Amino acid sequence: MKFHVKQAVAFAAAVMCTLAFSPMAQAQGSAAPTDPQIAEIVVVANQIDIDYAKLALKKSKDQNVRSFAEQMVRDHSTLLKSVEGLATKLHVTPVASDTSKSLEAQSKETTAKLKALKGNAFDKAYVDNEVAYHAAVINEVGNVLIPNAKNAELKSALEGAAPLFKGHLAHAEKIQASLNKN
Amino acid sequence: MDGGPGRAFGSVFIGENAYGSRGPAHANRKNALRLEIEVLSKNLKKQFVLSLAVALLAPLVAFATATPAIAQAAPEASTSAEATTEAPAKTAHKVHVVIITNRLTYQPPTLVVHVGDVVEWINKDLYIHTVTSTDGKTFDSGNIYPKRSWRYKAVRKGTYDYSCTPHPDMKGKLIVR
Ligand SMILES: [Cu+2]
Repeated sequence: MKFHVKQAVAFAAAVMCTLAFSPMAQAQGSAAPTDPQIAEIVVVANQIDIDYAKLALKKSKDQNVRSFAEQMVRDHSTLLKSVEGLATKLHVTPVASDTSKSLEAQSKETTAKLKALKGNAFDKAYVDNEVAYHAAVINEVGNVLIPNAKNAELKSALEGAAPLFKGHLAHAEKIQASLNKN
Repeated sequence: MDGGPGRAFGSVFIGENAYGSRGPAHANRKNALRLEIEVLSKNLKKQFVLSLAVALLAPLVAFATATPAIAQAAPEASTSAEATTEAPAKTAHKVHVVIITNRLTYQPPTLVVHVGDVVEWINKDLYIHTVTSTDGKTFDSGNIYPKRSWRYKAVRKGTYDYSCTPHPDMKGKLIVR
């Protein structure tokens, strides 16, 4: 399946080389993101994961997958709220960029692919995508967003969010391993 | 992993045993019940001792006015009658605190306690976390909501690795001596 290969490549690349090969990094180009662009990237990235999770809650019957999806909705909604709150407080109005637009385009594509799948195939594709997506987000946050954030509070908020993404990645990998056993 | 809202909130729950797959919700109820019964029976015993004392003392009081000897008799009677139920409560076990930080860590990550001690995990993060022994049976807090805590009474010696179900890279160790 084309989808799997693509995600596997994205994941392997994100993990094996710290080279930025991800939808986000590809679109990143050479221009360093501004704080309003960083804020928008974080908002969009959160919203995308919430939407994937909501799709999973509609489609999956696997208890582990559902619990994970519930957690993604919950954790990313909380994070989204705190990012939006911080942006308001700092008077930073999120601004779209090539990165945020590319993220949205990529997620549309992935969502279409996920929607076409059912049962076990859906569960695997959803969880594989969660692994790849969180790995890509960790990479982006660590290598692009944090180094480029100008505002100290924004920077420290991003640093604070990193362990959460890592926790999600560890959880997704655990479920991925259990799904591959079946 | 994350149970529904019915699962352990844990702020008042003191786990005592290995509950295995029956889960914390069950353990919670069971413990709450046991606590209630304990409190009830203690109250009953107190009442009984009190009425016994009154019954015994009444004639004496009627006879003579209070003397120091009588005043001392009552507490003595009550102490011996309650000795068995009061003994565990009087042995003050230590309460240890582990903070679940907003950096998604347990602080301290390794904690050494003695049998009978109580450990309280306080969630100071924005997200739900759990304290789940990796052996899959010794303890599982269920969801600890932000600003909530969960208590566990160490009952058996051993080294217990634990982690957070929603964030499995969060790891801690409880050593019971
Ligand atoms: Cu956690």
